[in-house]
Amino acid sequence: MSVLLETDGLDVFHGHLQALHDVSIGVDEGETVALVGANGAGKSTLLSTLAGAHRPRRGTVRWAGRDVTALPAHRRVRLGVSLTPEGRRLFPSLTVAENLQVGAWKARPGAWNVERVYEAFPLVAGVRDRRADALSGGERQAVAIARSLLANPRVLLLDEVSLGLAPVVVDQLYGSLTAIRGEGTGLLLVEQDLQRAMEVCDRMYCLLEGRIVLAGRPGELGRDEVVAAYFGLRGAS
Amino acid sequence: MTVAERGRATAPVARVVRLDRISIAALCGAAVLFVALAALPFVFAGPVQNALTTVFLLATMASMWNLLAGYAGLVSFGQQAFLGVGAYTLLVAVRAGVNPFAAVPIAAVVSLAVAVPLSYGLFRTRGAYFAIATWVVAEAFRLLVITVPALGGGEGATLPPTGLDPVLRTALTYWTALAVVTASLLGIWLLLRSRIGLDAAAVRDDEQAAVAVGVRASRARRVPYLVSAAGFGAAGAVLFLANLRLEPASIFNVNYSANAFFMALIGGVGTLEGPVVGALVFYGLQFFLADLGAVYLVLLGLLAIVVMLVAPEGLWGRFSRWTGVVLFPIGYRLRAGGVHRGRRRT
Amino acid sequence: MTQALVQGVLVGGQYALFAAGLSLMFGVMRIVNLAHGALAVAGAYLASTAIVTLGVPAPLAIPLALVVMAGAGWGLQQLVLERTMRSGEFTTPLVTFALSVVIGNLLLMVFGSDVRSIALAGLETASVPITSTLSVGWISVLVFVAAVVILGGVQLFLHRTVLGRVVRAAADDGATAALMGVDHRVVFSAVTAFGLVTATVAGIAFGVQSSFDPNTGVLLLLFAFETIVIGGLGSLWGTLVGGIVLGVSQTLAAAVDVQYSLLAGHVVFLAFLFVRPRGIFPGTWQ
Repeated sequence: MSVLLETDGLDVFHGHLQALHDVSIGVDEGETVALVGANGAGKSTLLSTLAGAHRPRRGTVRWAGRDVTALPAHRRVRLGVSLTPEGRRLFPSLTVAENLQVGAWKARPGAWNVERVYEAFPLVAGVRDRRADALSGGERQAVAIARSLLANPRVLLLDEVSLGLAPVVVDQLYGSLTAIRGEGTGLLLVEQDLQRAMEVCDRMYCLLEGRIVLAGRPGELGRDEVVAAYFGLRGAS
Repeated sequence: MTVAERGRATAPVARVVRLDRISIAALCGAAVLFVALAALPFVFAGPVQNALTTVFLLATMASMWNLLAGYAGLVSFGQQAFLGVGAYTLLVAVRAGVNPFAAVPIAAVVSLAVAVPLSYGLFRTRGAYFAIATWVVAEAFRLLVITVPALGGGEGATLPPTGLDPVLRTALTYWTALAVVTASLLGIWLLLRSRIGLDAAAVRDDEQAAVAVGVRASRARRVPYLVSAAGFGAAGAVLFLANLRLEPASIFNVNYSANAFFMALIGGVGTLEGPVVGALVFYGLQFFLADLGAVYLVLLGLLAIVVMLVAPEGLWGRFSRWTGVVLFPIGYRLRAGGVHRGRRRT
Repeated sequence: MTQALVQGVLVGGQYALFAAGLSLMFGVMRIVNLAHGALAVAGAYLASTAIVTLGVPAPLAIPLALVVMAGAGWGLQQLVLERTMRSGEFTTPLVTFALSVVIGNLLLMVFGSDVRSIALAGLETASVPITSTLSVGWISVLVFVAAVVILGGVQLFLHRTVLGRVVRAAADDGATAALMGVDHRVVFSAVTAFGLVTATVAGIAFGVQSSFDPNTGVLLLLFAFETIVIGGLGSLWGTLVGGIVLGVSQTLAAAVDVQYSLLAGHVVFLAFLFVRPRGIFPGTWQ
């Protein structure tokens, strides 16, 4: 298993505020990695930086060994990085089908196409001709994931999968994620629900105030340990 | 001692300062300058007076444009409409026998009156739409005037002979221009220091928030608009007096608004001193480069673009920000101070 | 009366062509380009100079002018508008306004204030008789057809092609579109280039049918703006309707007295702006 996407000593700022301090993580080929942490810990910033939407002040982002820190966002899709952004960010004046088309525009060759996506995400198939601004939360999330999937990424970055959604819907989404993992696609997912994150991932990182405070395999980490790291309680890491 | 008395005796009081030493000095300086300028016709001949008349009018237009844009947040490309209204009002008044110089305030009042109904329509628009609408209104006025033969139609009109000695006429025109620019600057300053000025700035910055604290947004916009109309009306009347000729294509030309915009921008939108600085820069450019024709306008436009992209506060704005100097302050500043002998200054 | 009506409709096509670029730029980039008219006139001068001074035949000169203006549009977006768009909501209108002054005065310096016209080997005065009392100019019809074709084409492009959807996506959310491989700067530059090309076509058509001078840009901008406000920003077809309403207002008023022509157009515009500011076909731009 080779490391596909990794960062080294990332320092990322929002204006004068430092959001990430010396962050180094990695995602191997085909791995599912979970990124957990409280609100404001820097998880979305990290994902944005990996996707090229944000420039780090220091540190590097590497793809398959190659330094891509300076590569602009719109060129990373071709490499195989695809981000489902926080807040879903569908194109509101386009229909679901049109949103998917845009997602597939710079697609790499691969297993995912529109038909397969409709199979894997029945939620999406049901609303394919509806305008994106007329969807429920669960439908939006499904469409957002499907849209990034159509680029046939080697690593899919998912920001906040379950936020604001009913458990039933989240179950459905995680069911679809199984299909994605089955294709061998790497996943880096941000998840507020610790339970689900630990159930589904191969490895996890915990972020607190912009720093990695815990890293390891869910089997090796105790729940209490993770919770302590999550909240920054004394005695953690 | 009551709690309140004890509080007053021991707590440091922050004074609210509206005029500091620099400003008082500047005001005195301005008064001296005014006297000097008023005495000027006794020392310098016609051409100097005419040049200064032009500068005064430029400063008036720049300041009045700035009042609208910088303080009320309304960008207008159509203030020339009121130049025309003022000028044609003067024409009608003089033909009716009114003394030409006494007719200037009448021109201002009529422009204000015209602005009232216009404001109700125009304020239904915002931003670029408002700007274009004002421009179209000016165009409409121009086209309307052309259809009225009594006003000279497309050919324009000439100021009826005043019967005055040319030297005296030039001096009187000069003094009128000085009066107009002084009244304008003073009026703008007082307006902005008043409640309405504060309201206008609040509405400009965030209308919803302002309305939420009880600011009457429409009044806060309307008063600057009316004052600006009056100012441009007076300026238009004086323009006519100075040029003796009035042509629709000339007085209703959008260049007046464009130049006012450039002057205010380069000097510093949103400051009182800025438009005056801008007017001086503009006149200087015009003076030194006029021989080269339209070049100075090209340079001015490019300068404006550079300023907008690089230094949006303009020349005076930058200076003021670096040094903290505000000659004619509009706002309220707090000065930390000790207990002030029982009496609180506000 | 019918002649005036038909004339007005045809002129409306020309206005719609002017307005198309402005409307597109607003819809995709949410900016108002006040240099639109000045640029259209600059394009007309370009074509005219190529034909008259350089002796280039018109069928070559006009496409050449269009290519140059497309390049100018691309450059405008990359160098100027990218910056103004990030600056503040007023910056783009103000900067483009200053730009229009600069362009207008540059044209004045280079070409003088003489009025000029573009000759197309007599085509400009050729007319097509429709009935015994009604005839229309060839060019007018050509321009109207071009307007319909271009507006329809753009509409089809935006709504029926993948690339069009990519453009609309970039318009909705440039940052997210980047995540899908869309370089929004390229998209916006292409839109600006296209806007200028359509404006130049309209400018050249104007130059053929009547005459122009460095100040014509002002008039054209106002016409384009009025067309958009009257028609509404809802759709490009709205732009066509807006142009027609404006054109007909002008020609009907001209039938009464030529002096009232432009005034009528302005009055109709102001009426719409004050009473129904969202135009005939309101709705979010699609």
